[in-house]
Amino acid sequence: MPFKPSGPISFPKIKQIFNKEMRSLFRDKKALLTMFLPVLIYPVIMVFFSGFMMLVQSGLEQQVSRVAVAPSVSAGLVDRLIEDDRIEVVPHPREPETALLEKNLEVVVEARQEGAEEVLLLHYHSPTGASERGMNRVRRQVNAYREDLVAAGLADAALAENILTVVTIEDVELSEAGESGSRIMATVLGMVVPFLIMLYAIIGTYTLSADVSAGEKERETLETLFSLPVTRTEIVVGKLMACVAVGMISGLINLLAIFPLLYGIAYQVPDLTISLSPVLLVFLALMLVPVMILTSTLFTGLGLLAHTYQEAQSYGSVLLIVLMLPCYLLLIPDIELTLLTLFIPITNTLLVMREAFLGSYAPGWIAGTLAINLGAASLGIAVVNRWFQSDRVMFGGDGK
Amino acid sequence: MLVVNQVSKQFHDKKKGAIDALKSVSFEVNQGEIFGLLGPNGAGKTTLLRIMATIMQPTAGTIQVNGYDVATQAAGVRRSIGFLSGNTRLYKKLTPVETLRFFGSFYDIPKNVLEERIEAILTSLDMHEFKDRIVEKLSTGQVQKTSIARCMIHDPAVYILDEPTLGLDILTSRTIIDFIKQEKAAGKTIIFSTHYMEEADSLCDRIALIHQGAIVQAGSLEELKAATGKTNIRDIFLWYIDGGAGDSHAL
Repeated sequence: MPFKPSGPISFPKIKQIFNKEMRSLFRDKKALLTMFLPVLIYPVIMVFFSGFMMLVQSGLEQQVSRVAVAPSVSAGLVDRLIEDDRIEVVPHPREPETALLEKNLEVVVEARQEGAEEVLLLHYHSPTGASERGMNRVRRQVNAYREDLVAAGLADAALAENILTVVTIEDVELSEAGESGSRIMATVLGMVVPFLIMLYAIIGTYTLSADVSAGEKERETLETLFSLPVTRTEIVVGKLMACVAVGMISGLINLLAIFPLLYGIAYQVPDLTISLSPVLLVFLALMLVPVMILTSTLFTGLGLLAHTYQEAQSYGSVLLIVLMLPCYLLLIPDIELTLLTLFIPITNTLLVMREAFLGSYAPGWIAGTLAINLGAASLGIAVVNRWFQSDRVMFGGDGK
Repeated sequence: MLVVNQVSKQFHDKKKGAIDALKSVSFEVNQGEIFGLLGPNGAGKTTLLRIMATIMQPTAGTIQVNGYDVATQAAGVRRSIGFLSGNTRLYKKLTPVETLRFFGSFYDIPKNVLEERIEAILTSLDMHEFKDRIVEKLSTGQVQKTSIARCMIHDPAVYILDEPTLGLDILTSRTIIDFIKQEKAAGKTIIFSTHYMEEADSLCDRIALIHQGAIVQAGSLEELKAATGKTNIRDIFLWYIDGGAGDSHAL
């Protein structure tokens, strides 16, 4: 027979439960490291790794490509290759394929005549980045050489060059110069940044939820709590508030860690159409709250089914994967807020966040998203609260 | 002070089906007495005490603690009791002082009164040396003192203790026993369960023998000795278990 929640809820008692959970968390160095260090480190790694990759890429671009040219190749092409600063023409080896595979050179150019046509054979090894780059450089020179030959041939035949141009294509771009690049960058950031914030916020709730439910059961402090003049509803609300707080902190730490990168990009990319401001921060936090409540109830509910903290984490890790699916929907090209996506919690929030990043706040969609998510969160709270009233909460899902 | 009337508790196991943990248990505890609940592991002692402490609900029957019904007036019961068991652990990341403040805050004690009470308890239990050290870093004896302090913070009328000395060494056990005696002297009512017969022998005013969810017999030690002709609780208990009495009723 379950307990019946009785009397008005006491917010001071809820606050006591909340304070106790937060104090225990912030005194647990291992838990803090597990929860917050990845959130902080990941964006820093991302920034440095991106910079390092660009540096390496730049270095590789400076490297000269060694191109072996067979005697059969025409002198005109050889001259072009020699004139390219990033190409070093080397003697043709006895075994070109072996030399390529052993990375002694990047490209081998050979030629044969088929009637009046010169057929060029460009040997390279595509899995090797240097060989791929060398190939591109040689191809550019070959194309330029071919254009020269064509022009010379037309001139000899006293024909105008435009005889080869039957159809001309002109692109008419509506955006101003540079705007499309800025827009694309903003759109990408508008997808990636909310996705990361949501991901780490959900992970935050996942980590603490297992501790406040199954963990407390395993540490045998739940029985002590139940003997106090505090209702189970008050206990549930206090614990869920702690999970929500940790989720919010985790998401916002992630955002603050990414902000320098965003400002750096905004500084370098002209007319970047993203809106970075305190208003955006507050808005993102507001939109996160109902989702955090919902995910906290889901993870806590699972934790109540488990006997141990480890078991709760195992269940939670499966749920975490499931909750990632609505996050990944944001990455679908051209996905928009519609009546369908409005009813998918998490996805709806991410879409609203994306629009906010691009400086667009649509009151109707925001209100709808909040309503849907708060409704789902309320249902989650009701279910967890109901479960918490049962004797089985002390024993795990099968009552053992 | 405490009236248990025809209390039953049934659990449902997926494999074993319905399990009767308690079967129509009835007894009364008078104010100011130490009442012992004796029985082997699995007898139903913990289940009964958890129901008294409103941690669980009975399947049938009623229990009144200090005039409050456990099913319908749980808040009143909880304000009246101090519950301590082998399973009532403390929060490892809180200090003893923080623990007392945390638990004390739920009893609507004014802040200044709570602080005075905390100070008095720290002094009476000689806890000043470790009061600001987190529980995780305390010795077993220090943790036990903190548990007792937690139990006393709101000056309850009734103590419900479930195997409070289980697994403790002799010195730490003495702390518990001294606490029980001290509270009895202060006029408190104490119900405690144990399977250490010697403890029950030395502390209890009255005893109930419980086996397989039912009260086998209840009464004072003298009454039980007279009824069975045995001189110690162990023999008395075994006499009843071996079929020495037909009905379970209080002497």
